[in-house]
Amino acid sequence: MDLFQEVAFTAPHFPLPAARRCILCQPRAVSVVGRTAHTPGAPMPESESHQESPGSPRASRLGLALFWVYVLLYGGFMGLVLARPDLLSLRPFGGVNLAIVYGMGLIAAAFMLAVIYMVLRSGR
Amino acid sequence: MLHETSIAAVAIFAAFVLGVIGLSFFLGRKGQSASGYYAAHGQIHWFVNGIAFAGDYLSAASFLGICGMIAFSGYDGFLYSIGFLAGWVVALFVIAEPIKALGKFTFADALDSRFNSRGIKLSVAVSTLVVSVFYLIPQMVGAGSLIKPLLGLPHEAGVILVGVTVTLIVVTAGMVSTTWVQFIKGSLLVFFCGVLTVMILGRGLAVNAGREGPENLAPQIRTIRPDGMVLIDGQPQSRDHDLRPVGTIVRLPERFAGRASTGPLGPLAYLATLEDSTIVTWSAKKHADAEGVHTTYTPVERPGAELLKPGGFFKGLASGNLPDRLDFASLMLALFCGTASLPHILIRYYTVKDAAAARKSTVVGIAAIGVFYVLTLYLGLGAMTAGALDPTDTNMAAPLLAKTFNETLFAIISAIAFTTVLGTVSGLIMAGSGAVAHDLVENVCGVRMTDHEKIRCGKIAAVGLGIVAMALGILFRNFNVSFLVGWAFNIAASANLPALVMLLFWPRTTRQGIVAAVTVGMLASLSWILLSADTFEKVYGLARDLAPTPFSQPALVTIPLGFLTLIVVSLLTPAPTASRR
Repeated sequence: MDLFQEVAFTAPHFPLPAARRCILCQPRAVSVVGRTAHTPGAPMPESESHQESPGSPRASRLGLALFWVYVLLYGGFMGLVLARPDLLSLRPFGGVNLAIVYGMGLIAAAFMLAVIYMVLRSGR
Repeated sequence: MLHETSIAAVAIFAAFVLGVIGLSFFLGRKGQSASGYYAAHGQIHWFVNGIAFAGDYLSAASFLGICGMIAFSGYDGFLYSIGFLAGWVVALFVIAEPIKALGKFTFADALDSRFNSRGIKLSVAVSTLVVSVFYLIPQMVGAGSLIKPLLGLPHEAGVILVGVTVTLIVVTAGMVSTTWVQFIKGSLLVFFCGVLTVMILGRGLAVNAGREGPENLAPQIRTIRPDGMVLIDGQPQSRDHDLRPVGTIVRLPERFAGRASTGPLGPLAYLATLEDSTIVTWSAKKHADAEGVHTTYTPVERPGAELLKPGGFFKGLASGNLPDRLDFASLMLALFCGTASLPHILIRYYTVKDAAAARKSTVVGIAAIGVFYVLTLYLGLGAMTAGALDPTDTNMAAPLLAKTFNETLFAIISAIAFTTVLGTVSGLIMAGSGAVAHDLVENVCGVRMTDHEKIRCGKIAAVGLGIVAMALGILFRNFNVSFLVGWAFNIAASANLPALVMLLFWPRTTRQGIVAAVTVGMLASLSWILLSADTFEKVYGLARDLAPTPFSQPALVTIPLGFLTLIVVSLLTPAPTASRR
């Protein structure tokens, strides 16, 4: 096994210095292309550091909350399809049945939650 | 059905393909670095990347497969749309930002960031290859389906044409050209599906569209003799004696009594009117005897309300049979969890500069993909009622629908469908080539390469994958492409999602836990699929009852199994801080 490896690229336009490390002794540098190298264990660069445990950049609390909102909506739909398919034939909206209204609603909800997430995250 | 080749179609099609290849050479003429080849230097604008997400994701399955399934089975195709889009919620809210911060070129980089283990790199690279290959099959099958009516060439020619074109795109400029091809394809696809939907609504619904006379509702029999000759209703197939196109409305709602057509309808009125109409769909039944294999296509009159609710394709939903319902639940779980585990989607997070750009491009992607899926519902229902379906090929519904408007639109839609295949296949080959060159050769085998060698190695891998894809595309020619993509989602979700989620949320996760979860998830889902009733019937040609698995889609069992494996193995091995030394 090769214990040494290049951790950063040597291409001339690359801002990272080429470095050789023993991969058994040190945690490997994680580089994000176009940015400075970030080592696990160190806090993340400014804007993404909140609420994230060291070494493992986590999804934000807001993201997880919105994720669960969607799980409820999606789960509700699958529950209806599996348990009460008769309800999906109801026509609550302009003569269009619930199966289509709910389905399109799920697509719209995904988009709206995504926009909410983007706006709130960039607003911080 | 035999289809006529039109010069306009060939010309538009050739222009599309040559344009895409030309663009690729243009983008590839500059000198390249490995970061350019694998991640487009991380400099793609978020909007372009967002549309490229759509271009990458809206594969032949989304366009051809879903439209075909809606056209033949009604609402159930839309369930795929819902599941495919829901997966993006997982990608955006849970996976996108950590993946962006942890990795460099490939998904294995991210999973391995904390451990630097060859085992993780190896298992993740193999799972990336397996998922990419399973996802490649339906794309290639779609290409073969398209080329038949468009250029009059056999299935194999379409598969080879896509294989060669895509390999050229990937080899010339890697991720840069792949991204732009996907951007162009994504924009064209959404735009022209929008145009087609407006035309469908403008035309409204009509009784026996394009068909006249009661003989059009007589059953049709297609026989394939042992010597390969095709008979239609007992006579040799020719342009004058062929299967009749199918899919019509026989009765409009009472408020249109005495009228043959509704005239233009709004988007909601279209759905409501269809729900009150009576539609003829065709079922196929096969039997074989000494004369050959006979397929009988029989017309069935069905109320629109029945076609616009779940149960047309997933028969178990209507019958209440438990294994069938579990099969459906399993598929919807796979679609929900699978998107965020697809390697070719994940690598697109490395082409933008930071987490904010990753977020914005995902939102753009969700918007474009969401709009597209709403449009596919109209395209599918339009095809169901336009009297133009080929009963032998569910994947051709959308292009044949376009043909009912005019030849040019048919040519454009077919060419776009073909570029759809190009865009997705190039993304998959890109992901596979990264897995081979960056993960397997460089990181697992420990071969140290210069920047140039890394690119060369990636290109050689791309050519190899292209050849594998072509071979599989020819082997699996008779499958509905959405159905095949469902398998890829199952494997991706079972192999990759448990490791990804636990790495992000459970500090006790160990190196061995990740390797075990990826390996077990992948092998379990793959074996389940190979032992499922669907595979027994459609691939091996055996009876469904012989299959040992209770239902065909594995995710419901294999995703929890992946999580369980990871937890058990992690708890049995030393905690990560100790093992890291």
